[in-house]
This record gives sequence, structure tokens and C-alpha cells, in this order.
Amino acid sequence: MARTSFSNICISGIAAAVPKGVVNNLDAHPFISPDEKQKTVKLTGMLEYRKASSEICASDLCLKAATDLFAAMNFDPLDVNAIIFVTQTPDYRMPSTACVLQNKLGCSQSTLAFDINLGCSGFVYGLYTSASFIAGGGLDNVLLLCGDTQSKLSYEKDKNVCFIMGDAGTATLVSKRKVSSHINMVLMTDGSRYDKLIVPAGGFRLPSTAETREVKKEPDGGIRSQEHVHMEGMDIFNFSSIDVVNTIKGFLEEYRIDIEKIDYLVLHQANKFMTDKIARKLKFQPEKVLYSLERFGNTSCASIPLTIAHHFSGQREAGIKHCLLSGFGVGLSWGVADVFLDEICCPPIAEV
Amino acid sequence: MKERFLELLAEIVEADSPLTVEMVLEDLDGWDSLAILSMISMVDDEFGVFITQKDLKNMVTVGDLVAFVFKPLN
Repeated sequence: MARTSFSNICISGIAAAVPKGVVNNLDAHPFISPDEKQKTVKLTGMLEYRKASSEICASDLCLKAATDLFAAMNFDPLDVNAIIFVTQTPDYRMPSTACVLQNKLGCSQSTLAFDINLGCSGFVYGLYTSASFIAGGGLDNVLLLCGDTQSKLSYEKDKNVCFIMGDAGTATLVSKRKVSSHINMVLMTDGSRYDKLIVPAGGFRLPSTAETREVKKEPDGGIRSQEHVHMEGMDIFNFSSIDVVNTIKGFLEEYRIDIEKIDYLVLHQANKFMTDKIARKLKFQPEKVLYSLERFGNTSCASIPLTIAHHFSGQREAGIKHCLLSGFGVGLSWGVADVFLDEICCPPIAEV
Repeated sequence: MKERFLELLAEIVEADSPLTVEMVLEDLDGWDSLAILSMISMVDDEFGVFITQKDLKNMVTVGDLVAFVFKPLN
């Protein structure tokens, strides 16, 4: 497994932006009975989420988040050494949307810029990559952008996903720090379960045709085309309760982290039933678990930074906060990190 | 233990009357994907047993579920 400890690196700021469009799960989905809607909202914890209009891409949300972050921190975009854009909903097949953002953000040409195609584990993987560039590559500042408009990948009448897949974009500044500060991380992959959370067609393995675009009723009761996201809910639930929990337990043991000393647990906002289960198995006190899913749903790679921004914006918490982060899902891919947030700058969540 | 399991399962599927082992899972009113998730979680929390989608495909009755949860460990 990819496991390491980074020193003298910190997260100095996180900003987020969401689309203006709100989907309220109790009012929407006319094809589902009110009773079933109530039950689903209760189980998932997701009362509403944001849905981007057709002209808004994930990169637009991340661009807004980054611009707000630079303004709040009085940070010069020319001081960015690398832009990493984690997304599964890029502007184009090619070029990397990060290149487009280099120009839009006013960063210098001496900037590394590329996309990473990951979802739920994306922020932790992005953090690992950013920290590696600083530690090994001699960079000072990495702009980590995580965003998705996954509402555009889910079919609106597919009960498996129509309650949960929300849109958001975030910007995180990862910087070298002279003061003692560290980040521990572990990253994992299991490609044998690649098909448990997948958009089967539209890539090169199964190219797009009229047939792959056709919406059909599937054996699992869901309704979708092969170009919409398909999730095997039970397998993902088992993966979270077993593999992810085991990795987190191993991580805490390996780095000798006392769970009582952790201030906050920030999990990928898959759904509340799953995150509650993970917190319970780890024996975390419920008041230490941060959430954004009630208002924003499952926002893919943006979910961890969005949850941090949601909590810390509007309240400047004094002192250093020790946070345990874990992203897990599509791939299957998962990761754990423990970070120390010291007076982190989080401007209010913007709307686009 | 088995009685406790049946009680908890009855709560999950919102059954009006106690469940029996002959009952067919698919025929239970409240047996939907949400109930299945809740049941899998309950079985893990309360009995330390892990049920996969593949295991579930082989179960037809409440009795099949009970037999799986309480089967002796080899």
C-alpha cells in the first residue's frame, strides 16, 4: 500500500462553490411515493443537493472556489506551482481541464497542471500527490481542485442514485510550511471490484452508440442507460463497513493515533447510513463527525473539502484541529489521512 | 438469539405481526433495497456476521436468512 508521512506541509485554506439549483428530495422525484421518499431521506440523511445547469461545469465551480480562496488569503495566483484538478466530469476528453484553469486563474506558465480521474477517494489521493510534489519536487504551493457535476452522470429516474448525487467544486491550498506540521496517509486500490460503481459505456472499452444511450429498466430495478452511473449499493456498503473500516483501524494503529485526541472525523459523504456505520465501528463520538450531506448530498471528490469548508467557514476555530479524513468509493479506491488544520482559511461557500 | 433476530428483522420490514421462518422474503411488504441495507447492517452490528449480495441471492425464505446468520463456524 502507498503509505507515508509528510513533514512541514499544511493545508492553509479550503473554499467551495456549489450550483444555485437546489433539488429537494421530498419535493422532487414525482415517480416515487411520498412514503418511500421519506424513508430514503431518513436513511441517506440527504434532504437536498445542488444540481448544475447545463452550462456549468465542475471546472467553473472550482474556478469560483479558487478565486474566492485567493481573495480571502490575499494570495497571488503567480505563486501557485502546480494545479491538480481531480474530477470525473472534465470539460473535455482532451486537453486536461487543469490546463484550461491555469490560464483562467492567471497562473504562470511555469505551473504543472493536469487532471486526475478519481471520485470519492480523489481528495485524499490529490492531497498525497500535492504533498509529494512539495516534499520531493521542491514546490511551495499546490492548488488542489476537486469537483464534479455527477448529477449529469446519473439518470434522474434511477432510484439508486437520484437522491444522492450532488454537484460541487472546491479549491484547497497545500503549502510548504517551516513550522513543524505533518500529514500521515495511506492509499489503497481494488480493481477486482471496478464494476461496482461505474459508467459502463462512452469510453473506449464500450464506445457510445444509440444502444448504449438507450434508457432501460435493469434487473436491479434501477432505470438507466449504459452511459449513466451504475452503483451496486450493497457491495459498496459492505466495502465501506469492512475494507474501509479495517484500513482506518490499521492506520490508527500504525501511526499510534489515539482516537480520543482526534477533534474531527471527516468521511466521504456517501450517505449517512454508511458514514454513521463507519463512525460507530471505529467508536467515534457522534459529535466529532462532520457532515455536509444533508444540504449537499454526495459530492464525489469534493465531499471532504466541502464538509471542512461547510464547518469552518463562518466560524474561526482557535487552535490546531486534528482531523482524520477518509475518502472511499469508485475504483474501488480509498485512502486515509490525518491532518492538522491550524486556523485554516475557509471563506463562505459560494453559489454559481 | 434467533428470536431476537426475528424481532429486529420484523422492525426493519415494519411487519404488523411476528415473522415466521416459512415466510418468503420477497413477499414481505417492507422488503426493499433500504430494508436489505438495514438488515445487512443489523446482522453485522448485532451478530458479527457479514452478508454479501451473492449470499443474499441464494436466500428465499426468512428461514434461509436465519440459517445463514446462525450457521456454525467451521
